[in-house]
Amino acid sequence: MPNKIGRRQSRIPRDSFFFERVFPILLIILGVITLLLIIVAAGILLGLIPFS
Amino acid sequence: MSLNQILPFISTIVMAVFTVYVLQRFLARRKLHFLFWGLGLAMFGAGSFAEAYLSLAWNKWVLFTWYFFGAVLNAGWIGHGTVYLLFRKRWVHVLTAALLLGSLVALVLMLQVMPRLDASQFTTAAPISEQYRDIMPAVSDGATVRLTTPFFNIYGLLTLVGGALWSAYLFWRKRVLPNRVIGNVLIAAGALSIGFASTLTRLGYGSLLYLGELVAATLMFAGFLVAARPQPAEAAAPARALTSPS
Repeated sequence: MPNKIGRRQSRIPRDSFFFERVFPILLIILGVITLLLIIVAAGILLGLIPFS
Repeated sequence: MSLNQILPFISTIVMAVFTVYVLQRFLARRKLHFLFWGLGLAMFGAGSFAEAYLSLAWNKWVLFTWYFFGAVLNAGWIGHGTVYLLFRKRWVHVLTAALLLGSLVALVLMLQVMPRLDASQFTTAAPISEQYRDIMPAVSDGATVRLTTPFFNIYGLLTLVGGALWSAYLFWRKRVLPNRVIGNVLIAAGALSIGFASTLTRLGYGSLLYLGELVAATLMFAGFLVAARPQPAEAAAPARALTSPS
């Protein structure tokens, strides 16, 4: 999970359907699932969601 | 053999290869994020191996391995590796101390439960993820270790998935390194699949856990390989290469 950008890197193509259309939607969906899982886990921790 | 007996064996093999791959990187580069990723992945693999073993026979220390390393610790330790990668600050060492202390507390709580396991409830006919609640005592009866799992798993989910999605977004926004965009999405999707399966297990639906683990192991390993793959421009200019999982 890199975090520093250099200068001469390979570029994301401008006309890519995946990077222009699919990726933003995918990112939002994965983010929402992450939030939901954290809410469920926090709910279990706080006793709001019962488990045996 | 049933599918639920075969899947953990395959996950164990995938995780063993993945762990060796990451720990080799640690030995070569001495970066702490590789160490925590490697240890967390080793815990994941140990949990998968314990599942495989418990599908064939009973051993209380294998159950210890499955729960302590597979259910409690591994997500938090893998996620902490991502924290070391993204934030090279002193406060990360404070978090490391908290993680170690929390792991120690969980270890003590787990050891306290060991004499109270009810082995008579064990059967090889069902996955351990569907019967561990009958073998371990309830939280109200002293199995307080079960209260620790959400802490480690929320931390692991936030850091591993959040870190991967954030990295993917940064590369996408800067329009560079498409392999790291895709690699980080695969890592996030893999971590989410095990998070989803674990949550279902916690809620009493444990039958999908082994499939979730195999999907997670495969996606995360694939994501790591894709993100670490050197790009033509990087190979031409290694001095300017990014900080990366490679």
